[in-house]
Amino acid sequence: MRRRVCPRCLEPLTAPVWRDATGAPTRPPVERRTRWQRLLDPLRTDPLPVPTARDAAGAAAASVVPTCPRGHRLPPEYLDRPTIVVGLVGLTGASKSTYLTVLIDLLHEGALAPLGVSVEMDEESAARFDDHRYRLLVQRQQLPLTLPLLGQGSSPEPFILVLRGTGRNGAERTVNLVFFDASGEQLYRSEDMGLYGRFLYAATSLLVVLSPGVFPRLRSVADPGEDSMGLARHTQMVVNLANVLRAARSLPLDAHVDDVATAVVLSKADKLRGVPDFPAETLRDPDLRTMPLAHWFADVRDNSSRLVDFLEVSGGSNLLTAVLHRLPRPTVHAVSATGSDARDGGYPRIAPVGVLDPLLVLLARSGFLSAEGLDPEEYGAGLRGEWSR
Amino acid sequence: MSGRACPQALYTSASRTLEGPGFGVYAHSADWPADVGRTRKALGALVGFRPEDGEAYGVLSRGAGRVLYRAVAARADGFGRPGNYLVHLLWDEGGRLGVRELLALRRAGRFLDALPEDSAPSADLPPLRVAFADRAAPALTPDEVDALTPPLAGLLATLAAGSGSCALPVRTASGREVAEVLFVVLPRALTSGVSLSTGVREDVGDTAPVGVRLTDAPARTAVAAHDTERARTLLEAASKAELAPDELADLRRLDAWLFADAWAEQDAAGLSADQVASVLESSAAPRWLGRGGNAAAALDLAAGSPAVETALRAAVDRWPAVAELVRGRVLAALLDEVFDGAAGPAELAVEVAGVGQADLCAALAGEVRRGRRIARLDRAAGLLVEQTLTLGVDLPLFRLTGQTWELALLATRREVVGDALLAQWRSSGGWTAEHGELLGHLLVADPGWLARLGDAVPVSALPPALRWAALRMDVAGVEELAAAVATGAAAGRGWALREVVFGSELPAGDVDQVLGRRLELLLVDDGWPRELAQSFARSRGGGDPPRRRRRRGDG
Repeated sequence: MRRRVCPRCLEPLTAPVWRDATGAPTRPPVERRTRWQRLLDPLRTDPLPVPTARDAAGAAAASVVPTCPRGHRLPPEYLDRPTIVVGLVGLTGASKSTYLTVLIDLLHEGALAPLGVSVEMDEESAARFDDHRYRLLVQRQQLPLTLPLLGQGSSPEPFILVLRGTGRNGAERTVNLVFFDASGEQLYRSEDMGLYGRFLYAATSLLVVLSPGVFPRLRSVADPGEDSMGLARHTQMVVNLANVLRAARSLPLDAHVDDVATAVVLSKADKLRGVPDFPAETLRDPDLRTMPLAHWFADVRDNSSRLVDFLEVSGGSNLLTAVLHRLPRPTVHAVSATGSDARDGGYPRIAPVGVLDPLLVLLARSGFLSAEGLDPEEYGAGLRGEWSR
Repeated sequence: MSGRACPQALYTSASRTLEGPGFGVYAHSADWPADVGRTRKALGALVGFRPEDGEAYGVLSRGAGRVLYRAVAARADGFGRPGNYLVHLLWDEGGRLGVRELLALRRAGRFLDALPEDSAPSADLPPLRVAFADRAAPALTPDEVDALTPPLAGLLATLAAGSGSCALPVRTASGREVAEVLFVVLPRALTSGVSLSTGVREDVGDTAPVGVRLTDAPARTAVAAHDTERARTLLEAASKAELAPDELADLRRLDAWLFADAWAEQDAAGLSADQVASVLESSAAPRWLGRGGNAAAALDLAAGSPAVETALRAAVDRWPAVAELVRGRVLAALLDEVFDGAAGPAELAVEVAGVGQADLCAALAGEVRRGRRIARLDRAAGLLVEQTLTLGVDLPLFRLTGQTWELALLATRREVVGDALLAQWRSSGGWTAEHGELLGHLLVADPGWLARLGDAVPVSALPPALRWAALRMDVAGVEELAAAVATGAAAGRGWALREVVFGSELPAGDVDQVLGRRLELLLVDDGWPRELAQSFARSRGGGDPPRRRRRRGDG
């Protein structure tokens, strides 16, 4: 079984602690059993069964909820599912929050339905997400900047989703998809990453968001403020991130990290359509209903290579080298979360393009989706990980 | 008071800050303290703010200094994103600035609402000159006094507790800014340890003992939960343009300022120790102490209440009349102790009154001259008498005490007393029964007094005195006194034999022993020719003189 972590404090845990309304630990709810089952209990050697959804509903009605050892409430059946922790990384103004809001909205709207995957969101996450969604997608207003954390040792509040699909053998497969979105100011220095970005230590997937305006030859499309940031700062961010990933696993700085995948999001790509040499066809959405996923991943792989070439000639060689050699299993994706630039704090329309690609790759890398076509030389006997059983 | 140059710091989100793009410290003065923080991480919760709140401000303590700050929602940052805010912080190293200055800075718009147009990140921001805020009595209507009384009472209760926090409404129903009024009405020194913040704050490392939170809807506290008299009186005084002096640093002194005149109308029995201290600190102290038993009560209270002791000492120093009054009370109590054996004043009272040895000795003499007598001339009283005479004070010994024997012993044993008695005896002139009584006791104590007094004693007064003394002496004493008479100025009258030896009424055997040893002397004193007396005495033989001791202890 993969390592489970609390989605809030990121502490590893193997079993929930059930607590009553006052926060005091209490016995977990269990199904009413027959006398014979009770007599068998002393002979059991395996752990007690995890409470079912029915148990959880009954417990919630009685104000008894599963929590991590530190008392953070766990979503129902959270520990029954493997968890993919996705950390968004990028400097200030890279559009991390905008991208994540559009992505989650697309997932909610059924973007993965052609793949037979449904998406649910944890209640607390949904309440917070609604504020973001309403502002960006209904009012078409720019999202406010993400405030840095000021209490050391903390992590941002995650968005927790549950993905449910059907495996090849017809059995249901589910996964917790936990997104962490932090302020860019605290994703640059190693020290800040350690103090405020604990999610990076538990992340199994990374969405590294880069704004095109930071590349030297793309300054013409830079947003206000981006031109002053410099590419070196981004390179340093990538290096620090790579070090943190390895430090979290007690690996040498040059070691291979095999349990993390990286999707590099070239955000605001709509602004690149008029830029010479930009492979405009890389900015498009997959039609998952008509194209097999394996074919789509082959295109993704090809597009990633073309985008790397484009960014290298745009003055990003050093950054790209760091990304490709230090971050685990990277692919590069052209994305426009809104389809257009903000003016006077608002968007004329919201027309996302390419938003789903990076997540599909990460889901395939983690084994929830088939990775066929993504890494031909590595792809073997089908699904990997615990969903392959 | 002059103003202070305060280092300042600015925190916001911009395309460039001292910490890079995004949120960070945008600028700070060169002497902005590193302890408070020059980075987002070090400043921590101090720069936390929810832009949707619009504004937050406060003052807090960090060690000996104070941080004054205001956070305000700002326009889009350098990346064009909404949700930005600006925190403007000021540092007062001496900790002299307080809530009044915070509110004055905010009122005057001296906290920045946005970065100046042409500004750039800087670690050399000039300090901001902050003047101490003016203090003017607020004009308050009766309704406003009513509305402000509960919050002021709550704040005063927290101040009385010495630590804790309390919530104040931002403004009254009529729109009056509560903090503006309360921190003008309260003395500056009383609120020097108070921090203030708006809304809910994270832990910002505030070391101020008392914290005030300004909230739109503070939890209601029953009016009866706090004593509102002090608050209401303070507000009513302020509405009459009477403000408590800024130097009042504690509630007791504030109470003294508010209530001392009213308390001064009551006697000590009806007042608490703190109230007594307040009265003593007020201008009513001389009048109050002079009334009834208030001075004695204040002296008693001083022993158990440092506040009363301090106030009483201050009153003694400040008011000559009080000093005289307290001194008189203490001296009277001391004299009661000396003359009558009363309990006497506490040592603290003696110290507060400043009564010294010379004062007591002089007072002792005065009292004796006025006819007062020491009831028991014990060792302590004897020492006082001796010290009085040593200091040269004219102490009349004849009227000192009714304990004549103790006086005679003291005069016999202590040279200065004996000399004084002799001098007074010689200068007194005349002869009274008191002289006769004292002479008898003196002779019992020491027959040598016969020679010391010499012609100061009329010859006619001697026989009864000799007989009185001899009657109370043992064999040796009788023999010594008889010898003194026979060899003294009154010799030749036969009193040694007839008044002393025979007057002693000793048993015949004891008389015979004395006669055996002193017969010749006694016979000569009785008028016998010396040769005949010698011959007669020799024919009787003699013996060793026995050890002298007093026969009876009565006087």
